[in-house]
Amino acid sequence: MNIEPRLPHNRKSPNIDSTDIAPEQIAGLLTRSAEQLDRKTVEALRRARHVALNRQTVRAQAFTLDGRHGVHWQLPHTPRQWAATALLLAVIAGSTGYWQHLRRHEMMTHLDVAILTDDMPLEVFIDHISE
Amino acid sequence: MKPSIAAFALLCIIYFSPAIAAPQPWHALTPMQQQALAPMVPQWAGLSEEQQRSLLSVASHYPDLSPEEKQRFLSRLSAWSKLTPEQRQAAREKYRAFSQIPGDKQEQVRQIVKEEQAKKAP
Repeated sequence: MNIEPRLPHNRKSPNIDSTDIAPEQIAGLLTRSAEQLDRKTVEALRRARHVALNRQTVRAQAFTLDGRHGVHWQLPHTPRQWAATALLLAVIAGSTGYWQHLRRHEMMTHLDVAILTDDMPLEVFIDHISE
Repeated sequence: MKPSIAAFALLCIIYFSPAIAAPQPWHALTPMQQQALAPMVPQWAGLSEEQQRSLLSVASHYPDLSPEEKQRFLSRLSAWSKLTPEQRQAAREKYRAFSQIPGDKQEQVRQIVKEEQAKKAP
């Protein structure tokens, strides 16, 4: 099975530096070479391609961030992925809520101390004191 | 996923623990807390856990106060604790609004209040 391209007489030999040949020329040479193959070889190549395609395993999509072509989200597919996502969101929401609660409490304490120690009397800030 | 579940459970415990904690007896407080909350001794056992927690937070700032501020703090604490949560919140809002006005205006208001108090004093 000889698939070496048969160059026209006015072209350089195949041993020339590949960088001298433009990609379009290479594609053209390959096409011409393929056209010159005998039927038996073409059929063998077709079968080999078919077998190779059948052997190729298609992997399930994973829940990932693909950074190669810009960041984009892929939705989770399995219940396990949905559960993990829900758990992650719950943890984020819980943490945010807890942090806000702490911050609110801290601010409230700060104000309470300020009211209790300011030289302005307490009555100024309170409408009705029971005592 | 087990570590995530454990982390979530821990978060829930931390988040909800203040709500399920029991009130603290007076003798369980530190000497510093007892000193800061001394005016509250009679009422302490009857306070809810939330009220106790709020007072303990306020008391944690007591060591940083000047002697004059400590005196004011102790004299006002009992009256402050008897206010309803709504009254306390309204007081905080008023104080916040007051603290946001320019310093010179604040001084004018303080001066007027002092004069009014002096008139009322026997």
